[in-house]
Amino acid sequence: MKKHGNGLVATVKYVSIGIGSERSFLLMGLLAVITTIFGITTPRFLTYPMFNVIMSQCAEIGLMGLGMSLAWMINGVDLTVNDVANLTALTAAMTIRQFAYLGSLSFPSLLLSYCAALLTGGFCGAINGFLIAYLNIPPILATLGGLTLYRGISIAVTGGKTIAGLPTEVALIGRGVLWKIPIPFVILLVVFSLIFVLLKYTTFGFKVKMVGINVKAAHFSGINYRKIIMIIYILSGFLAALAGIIIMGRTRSVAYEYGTQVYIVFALLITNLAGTSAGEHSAIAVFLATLILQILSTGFYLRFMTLPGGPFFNNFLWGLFLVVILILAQLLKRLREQKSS
Amino acid sequence: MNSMKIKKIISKHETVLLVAILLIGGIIGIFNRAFLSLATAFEILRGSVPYALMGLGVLPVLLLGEVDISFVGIAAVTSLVSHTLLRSWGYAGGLSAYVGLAIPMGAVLAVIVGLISGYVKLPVFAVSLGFWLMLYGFNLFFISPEMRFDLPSGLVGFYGEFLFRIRDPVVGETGLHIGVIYVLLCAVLIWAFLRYTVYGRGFYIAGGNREVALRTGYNIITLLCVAMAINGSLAAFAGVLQCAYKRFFDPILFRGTELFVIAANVIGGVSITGGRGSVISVLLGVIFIQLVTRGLIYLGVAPTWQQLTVGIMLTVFFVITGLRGKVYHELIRKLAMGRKGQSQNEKTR
Repeated sequence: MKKHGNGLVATVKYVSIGIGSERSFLLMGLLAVITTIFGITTPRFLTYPMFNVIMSQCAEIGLMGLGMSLAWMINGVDLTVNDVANLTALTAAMTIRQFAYLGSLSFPSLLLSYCAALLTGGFCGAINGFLIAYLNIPPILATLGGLTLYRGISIAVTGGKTIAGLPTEVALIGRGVLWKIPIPFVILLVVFSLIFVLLKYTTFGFKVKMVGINVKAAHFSGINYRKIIMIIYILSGFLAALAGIIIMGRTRSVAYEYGTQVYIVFALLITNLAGTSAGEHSAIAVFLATLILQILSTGFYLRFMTLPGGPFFNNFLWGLFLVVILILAQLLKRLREQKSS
Repeated sequence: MNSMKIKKIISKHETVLLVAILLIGGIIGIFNRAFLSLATAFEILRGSVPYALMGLGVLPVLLLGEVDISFVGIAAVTSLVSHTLLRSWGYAGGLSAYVGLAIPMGAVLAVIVGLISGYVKLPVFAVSLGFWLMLYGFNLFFISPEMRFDLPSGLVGFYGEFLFRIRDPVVGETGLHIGVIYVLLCAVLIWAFLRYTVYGRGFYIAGGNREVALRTGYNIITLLCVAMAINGSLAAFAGVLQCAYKRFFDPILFRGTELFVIAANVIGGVSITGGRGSVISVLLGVIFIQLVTRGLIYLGVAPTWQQLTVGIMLTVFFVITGLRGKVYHELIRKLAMGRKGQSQNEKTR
């Protein structure tokens, strides 16, 4: 293969280095293809209300997927994303209810509840990070333990019931619209830009990359790798907390089992679709993967909604999809390694 | 010499756990006298049966340093599929045909997971998560979304098949369920396999140091597939036993309990990085979790607190293990320093 083409090819390559990678172009193509397929096969798919639905729903899975991909980047995994989201939503809901009960539900008190939720998320992430970074517990087991713990807290506090009928004020974040764009999507865009800048243009981002590629080398270069790992898991906790706040706003309810079936699978799917691997992370690819997954999810839902037991069939498909994507991602990676060597 | 031996036994994890089990049982007994009875002991043992089987199954996988959660899905699919098939063939007998049909199915499904993760070089956990969702979806969509109560006549009396019976003042006539014998049989088989066969030793070697296992001539993928085959067959067995005992076949059998099984293994003393762990640790870990979660009910705590309890136990256990590992590494480093730096490159992390 020639290293440098000329003319158009060179320009495309130059631009691609600037905004992402080959993977991003691949994902853009995939995005165009599935949008066209669903647009043709499903009536009323290419309409504004439908895009509204997709944009407001993709924030949750996008934020969780981003947290998971950050952990994946440093050879870890964060299985607690979904349960941290539910737990933080529960914290926010209980604080809001308390304020509403006292009759002082205003903008500052709402903000205070959201801060409580974010703190809870950060704290959960800190527990994960501590177990993994300082006590050397393998990430899968540490976060499985965390998952049991956080889900356990949610079940114990709610008694296994759904908290519904939250005041309408919370819906602002979940269903509000800013210049015709749903607020969850705005949040998603802001968060992704921040993470993009953080990883690409700061020393911290570079350190994270080093830790992901080789912990030992990073350690010997004087990087406090334990601190980096800790911060990444705390960051993932914050992202999950944001997702929890959005879920609460969108559904105006909190349930310990919201999304416990598929959201971890979604997060893993986004991570692997985006081609995240040790030390390699592209916020743009993760964003595109999120869009693809949400379009697939909405499209599948529309196609199989009328089928008896449709949701079960969807679960079957998601499981299969995860296995297939995992295999494909790994094969692609191996092919690229072969090409480069 | 003799006191050394005693010290060694006392400091063993299994001994500590056994003492903890007796202690917790005693404490719960002080608060609720009804707890300290043979009937409770039998009920705890009976309740441990499916978890012990699944725990024994997942032990070889954990020994290899991998984590699997697809076994619960395998249990659900194999039991429901074999039930559906046998009912459509007009089968009216007992457990044997169910077991004969479910176990090969479970082994095949699990080996597929093992093959995928082995050849594509993926963590078993990621693949098994996909299979977990896929298998439950398969069960609910393709087989039956409802529980099936149409047991064949040979299976109806299974829940009352006791080894021996006793009379209890609170619960009436009860006894030690025959499932316990199956668990013991499987435990002995797995123990012998792990201890006396070349493959069994291979799990410990590969879990401790993969490179050494490779140099010794073990094929890691084969090892993984053997581990997964054991895992799948025991999970299938556990599924059939549980359905026969509960008197209905459930499409979402065991969903959510995979965490309890892995927690039991870890708390029982199976090493979290692979390479260490025994059949006894699994059995004790399962009984410990059953005792604590059931004991809470006797203490008047709502069952909704069970998961939190397991979560706290697991986290506390991780902290203890982590700290102990730290102390251990410190000790090694000090010893190495004592040898005047001659072992510079021996230092582990």
